[in-house]
Amino acid sequence: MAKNNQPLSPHLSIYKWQVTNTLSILHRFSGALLFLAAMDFSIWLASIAMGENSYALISSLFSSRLALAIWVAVSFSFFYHSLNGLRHLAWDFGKGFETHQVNYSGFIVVFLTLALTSSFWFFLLTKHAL
Amino acid sequence: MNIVNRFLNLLCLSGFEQARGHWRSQRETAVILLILTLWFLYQLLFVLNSLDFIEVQAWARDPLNALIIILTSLYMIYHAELGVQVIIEDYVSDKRSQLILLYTLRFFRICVVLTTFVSMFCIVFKS
Repeated sequence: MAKNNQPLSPHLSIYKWQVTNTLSILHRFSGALLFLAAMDFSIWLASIAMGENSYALISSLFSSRLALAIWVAVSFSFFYHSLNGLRHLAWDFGKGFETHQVNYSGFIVVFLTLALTSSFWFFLLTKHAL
Repeated sequence: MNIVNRFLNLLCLSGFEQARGHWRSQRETAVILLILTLWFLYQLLFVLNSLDFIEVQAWARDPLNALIIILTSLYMIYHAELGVQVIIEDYVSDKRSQLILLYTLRFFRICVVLTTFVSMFCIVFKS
């Protein structure tokens, strides 16, 4: 089948890197990672349904070193995607489109993401001591 | 009619959404998910005392919790499919590979929807 004439967008490799497009592509990357996390959620539910042994197996898989590193990335993605999503919703209402506003809200989102991710892990680890 | 369509979309019983419908659904699911995931974070940090099997099972068996868990899972995978659909449409220009990827995506979503319903049914109704 022939290629259609649909433009491939955005041109990541030739686009000048700045705050706005970096955060924009990060929104997509974090979203894609959260897709995998959404699948893990249903795996977790299935393991509860299948009983104690399956739950123990999934728990050990999900709390291995590698998995914990992935969960840190997932939690970062979750907070980033949620906060940046709010930014997108504001834009949908036509608010905050000036260049300085876009950069400013971008920095706020990154700052809050780091703060929320670290406090989330602080709470979780002090409570559950994984 | 509208509410019926939305319900079918959530259950993965309708085709891929396009243009205006897609845009609307993406925003609606985003706002709903903000609430649902905040609920889940709250449960994880402040309601569940441990992640032991007995406690997690008892938590998931509570009817209200079970309902919200089902909604959370369904809305997460719905919103995720809407998003990944756009990524595929943006970056894959070959129509045939685009379709193959879209149906693969749909396959994964159907798996998640079925797993969610069967699991939660077993958790709530199995003695």
